[in-house]
Amino acid sequence: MSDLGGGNDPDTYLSIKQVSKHFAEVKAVDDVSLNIRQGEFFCLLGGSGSGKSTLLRMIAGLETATSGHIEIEGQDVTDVPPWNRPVNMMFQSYALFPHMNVEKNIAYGLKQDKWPQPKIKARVEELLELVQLSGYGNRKPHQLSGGQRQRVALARALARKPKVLLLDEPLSALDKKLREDTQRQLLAIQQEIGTTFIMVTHDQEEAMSIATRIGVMDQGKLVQVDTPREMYERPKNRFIAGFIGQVNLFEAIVEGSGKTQKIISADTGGELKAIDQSELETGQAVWIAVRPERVLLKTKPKGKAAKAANKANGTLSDIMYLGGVTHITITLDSGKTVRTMISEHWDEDEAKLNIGDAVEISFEQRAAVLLES
Amino acid sequence: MSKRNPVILALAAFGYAILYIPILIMIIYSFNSSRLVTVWAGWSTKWYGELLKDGQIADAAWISLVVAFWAATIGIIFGIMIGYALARMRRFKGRLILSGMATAPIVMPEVVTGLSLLLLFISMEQIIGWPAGRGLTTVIIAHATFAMAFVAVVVQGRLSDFDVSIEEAAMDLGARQPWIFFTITLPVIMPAVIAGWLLAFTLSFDDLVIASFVSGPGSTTLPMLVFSKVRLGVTPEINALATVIVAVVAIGVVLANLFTLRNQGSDNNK
Repeated sequence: MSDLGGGNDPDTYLSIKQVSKHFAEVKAVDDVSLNIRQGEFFCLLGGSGSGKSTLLRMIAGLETATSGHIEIEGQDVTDVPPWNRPVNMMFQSYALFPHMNVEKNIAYGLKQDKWPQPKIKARVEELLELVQLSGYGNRKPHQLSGGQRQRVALARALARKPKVLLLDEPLSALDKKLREDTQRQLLAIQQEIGTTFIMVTHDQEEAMSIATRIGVMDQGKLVQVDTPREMYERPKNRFIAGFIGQVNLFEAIVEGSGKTQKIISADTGGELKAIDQSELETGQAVWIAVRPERVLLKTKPKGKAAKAANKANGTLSDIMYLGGVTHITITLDSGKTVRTMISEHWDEDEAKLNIGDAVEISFEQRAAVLLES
Repeated sequence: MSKRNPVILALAAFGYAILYIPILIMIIYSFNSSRLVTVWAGWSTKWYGELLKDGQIADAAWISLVVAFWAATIGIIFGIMIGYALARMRRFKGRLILSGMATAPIVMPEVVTGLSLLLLFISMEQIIGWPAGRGLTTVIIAHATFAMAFVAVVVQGRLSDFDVSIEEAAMDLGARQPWIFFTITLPVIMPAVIAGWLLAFTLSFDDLVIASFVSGPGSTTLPMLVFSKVRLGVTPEINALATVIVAVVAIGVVLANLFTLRNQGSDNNK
């Protein structure tokens, strides 16, 4: 059971309890439990088909859960139809009503709730100001740019003051430059109004830069729930390590037991020491993850260094200069390739690097994360 | 293809000539001042004047307009229902058969449609007493059947590329069916519905065969009148009348196409 964000957190606002969704034979969402706190900007991250959108649609009520419960502020909303849920959704395609102008689009939900006309007008104005579209009320959606349409969709979804705002890949249709600006705007708006946001995205950089916490989904299961920093620094398994950022993975075997227990890797040809290394089973296969920027490079090594832990010898096999940073690939004596990067510090070292040079790599114990799966 | 192949151009010209020269000749001869249809005696619009004075023709034209209006209107109501069901319920048993059956009246020989409807109306009259006799009602019902099929095809086509998340957004914003259908779906597909209505109107307006089967005394449509008059010999008056019919049908088709184009245009702006 993936009870990652689950448990009894007193700050829980929205609670997903062992929710599954099966489409015929396919388990789109498989026994997911997750607690989301009030005011959080939570990102559901995953590839296509990971079940993240289905989970979001179940929170909105647009899909019914095969099993499990969804609670908002302690109230079970599992069987509440979408039109009665205190959540609103911003759709990937924005789903603006093409025959209505911006004002009417935003007012649609308020009219369903039977707000009096003057109050609707004031609320629409307020929202247009919030998304910086004052004066655009009479435009039709097709007269707006992609970014403007995105903001109208946001305003419309926020109009009824939902307890939770759901965002389904809201930035995927925008180009890279606009996307970064919009991320900042979205975050600023979220902080201003304090509404709980749950955003689905496949872009790990977007999730890292915007979220207070990230939930990574794979094949319908919630794999890890953590802050962006924890997710990057302490990935739970190889999937997360490889999914969030780049990583060097060293395969290793546990040898001995008790105080003499060691992790020996054929990749580095020696012992590996990892952070928070606890008692492991003898003969167990483990993986050590090291981020490329934590791999240190030493040119002109003196003799064999592989006797010491977390060190290995190899040759430079590729140098890719990217301006601010240079990516370097090293082929270890075992044949394993390791990636590292050095940033330009005006020192001469980097200029002296040549493909084929003998080098020594090393990394600190605190840079090495032990993965058991 | 930047270079135009003269052979293809010639073939296209030939094809269009076969299609439109007879109609063109008829239109030209409707302005003939001679009483003899085949002898040209100079320009005149007097046959159009005769047409206006002819009460029988005016009556038939009115009947045709009434029939076409109601047939098209009933047709869109049922056509939208069929089109919506076929477009939305993607997987249900017999969907293929149903979608084939919905469009069958388009290709069904009119004699068959007309005869079967006539038999239906007679048995209905015997069993439930309605519709009493053949007349305007039966012609309208008969025309509504194929109007329905045309609208269903047009609406289904429009709905198949309709972004369903628009309806979901309305639901998410607190609306329920059928309110969503009337405030969101219908306005969005409206151009297609209007195009379907115009098409149905046009088809009803120029139908002869089905109307001949199911009409009764006092419900002679314009094409029926033309046909009966032609049997006594073609007069220039008929040419003028046919020209008017061509004009009405052409306007209907052009408007229908314009609505379809506008519809596609707004989609491209999505």
